[in-house]
Amino acid sequence: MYPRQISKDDVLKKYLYLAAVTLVLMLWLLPLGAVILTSVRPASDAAVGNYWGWPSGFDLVKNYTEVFTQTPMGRYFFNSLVITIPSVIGVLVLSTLTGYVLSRYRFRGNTLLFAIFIGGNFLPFQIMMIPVRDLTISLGIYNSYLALIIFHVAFQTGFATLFMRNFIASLPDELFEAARSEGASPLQTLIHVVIPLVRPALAALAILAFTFIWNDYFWAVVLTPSDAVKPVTAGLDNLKGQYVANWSLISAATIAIAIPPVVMFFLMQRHFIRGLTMGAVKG
Amino acid sequence: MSNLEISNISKFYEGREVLKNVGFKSSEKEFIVVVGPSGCGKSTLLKTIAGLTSVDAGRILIGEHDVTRAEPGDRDIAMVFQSYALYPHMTVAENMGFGLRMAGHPKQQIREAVEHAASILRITDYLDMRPKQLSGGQRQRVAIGRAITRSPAVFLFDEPLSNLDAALRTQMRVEIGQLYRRLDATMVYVTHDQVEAMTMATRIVLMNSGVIEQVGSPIELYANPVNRFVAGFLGSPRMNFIEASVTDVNDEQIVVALEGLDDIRVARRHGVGVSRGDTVTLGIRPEEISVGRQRRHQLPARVELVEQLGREVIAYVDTGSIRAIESENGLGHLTIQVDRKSAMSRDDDIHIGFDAEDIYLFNADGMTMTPNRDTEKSPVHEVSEA
Repeated sequence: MYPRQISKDDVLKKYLYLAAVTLVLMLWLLPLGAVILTSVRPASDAAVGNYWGWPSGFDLVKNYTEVFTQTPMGRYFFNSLVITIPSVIGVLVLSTLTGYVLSRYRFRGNTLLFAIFIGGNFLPFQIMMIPVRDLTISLGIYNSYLALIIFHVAFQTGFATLFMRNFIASLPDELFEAARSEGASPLQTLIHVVIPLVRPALAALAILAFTFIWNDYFWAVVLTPSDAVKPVTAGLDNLKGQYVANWSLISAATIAIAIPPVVMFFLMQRHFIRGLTMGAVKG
Repeated sequence: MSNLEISNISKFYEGREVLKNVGFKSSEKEFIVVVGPSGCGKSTLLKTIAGLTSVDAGRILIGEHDVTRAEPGDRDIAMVFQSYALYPHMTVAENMGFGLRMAGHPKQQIREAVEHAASILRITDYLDMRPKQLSGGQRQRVAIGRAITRSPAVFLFDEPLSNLDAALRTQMRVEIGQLYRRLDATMVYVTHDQVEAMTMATRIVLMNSGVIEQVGSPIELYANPVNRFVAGFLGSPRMNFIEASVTDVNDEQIVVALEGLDDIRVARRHGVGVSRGDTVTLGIRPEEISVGRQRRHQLPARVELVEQLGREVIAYVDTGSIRAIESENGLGHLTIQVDRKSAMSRDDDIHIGFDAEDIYLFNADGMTMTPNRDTEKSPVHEVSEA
């Protein structure tokens, strides 16, 4: 049941296939297209129910400028960066350390510890909502950047450890034996041998964690009620007034929010190098 | 000082004893080849010397220091791996200087050490390349260079040539031999290849299922195997083994009978216990059997298979009544090795013969019952067993 190649000679099949792909792609992108289109409409379009039709005018610059001048989105944006970047770094550092130890050192309880890291991922956030909120209050960090950073790092590290452990375990044993027989300490081995070789994994993990944390809405609502620390996802909700909603503005803000994860992807892309361990072992 | 002493090492792995009371000693610069079939514990032994595997009992001394519990980096050893184990993200020069860099040596000193090692191995041109740009042979040179850079007291080689093709293997074998003469260090070289063992070693340590069977110079092991395992392991094609029974014994001689042959009178090893009626194994090397009627004991045979190797011919012959045990092809044929000029072909009826002094006898436990032969005095060291 592999996806087989469509023969070049079978013209009918070829065009049917192309049509099907186009259709699926259009369905997939339609909501995004509508949001993009709405983000350039004048506010009046949404009010009269022109959601899908041609915009009555183009207010691209006006809408996007207003997002940052008429609303606190700029502040939320800043908050999001302050929360996301340290969280991602924390996740990468911790999961590299845990993954390295769990994959390379045999000790009593190794498997149990690893199982706990994985098992933690299966706990639904919802059941932790109240305890985590209470915990942050008693720690005195409720409604602060630190609350979100700490809990994002904690929740992401479980999966990230699984990811890094398996990646580091796949490196050839001989490299570690060679480093050890040359007198490199475990930390030196980590810094000079492991990290350069797991760069693609770190890049992939950075994108995953960044997107996840950036897009988080749940913890943002639970832990940061104040505008001063609220990230973009929760902030977006604030743009809706009690009685009116400027949908053009909300759409423009939505598009603006989606940009950083995309930028992140392109930044990290150059680290996806295939065959990084080529030449390490065998001929 | 490249003193290496291993005494009474034992190692258990998942309840199985993979090294049983293993020990040997080298008091001066030596090229020790540890050889044996797969799973005999030779690689484990090497890793215990390196410190990559801990031992459950015994002691390891390198240059007068007890390093049994020391970290590999503190043992004054360097290891060369079968799979090269080069760091793929570093250049050749960085690979070679890694150990010194980790130890915090100054840059200038590292560069000199790397350049010195590179010039010995003629890899100076590759110093800025990465491992993936190199061929297998070049990579193994770099791995050896990485070991030289640290100028250790003991070099440890773990089947370094197994991944190379035949021609390159021969070339590297010679190079490692030359390297040994150039460097003031003891080398411990693990291989399953008996040709490497025979050609490179000053002393061979022959292992089987976790124990050392015999230690000695290559020619000693070849001429005077202590038991049937050693006799069968060294030599290619391997020794023929034939079951025989003892018909008479005196202080000097053991007389064995083989169907269709005169009584074979073989010298008796001093003090070896044997009595009339014992079943023994008679061993004879393929090159000691000759075609024709010029030897003392002879018998008719039919050629079943001929392998023309250019320099020599190996033939498998069926002698009818006398069957070889554990023969190469499992059919009980005797293996003979003769000059390439001897014209032989399949189904030829020939006569083969041998002399009694070329015979080895092994008792039911596999121990050699025939006395040691004179091996030409070779410039190797005395056998000393720790």
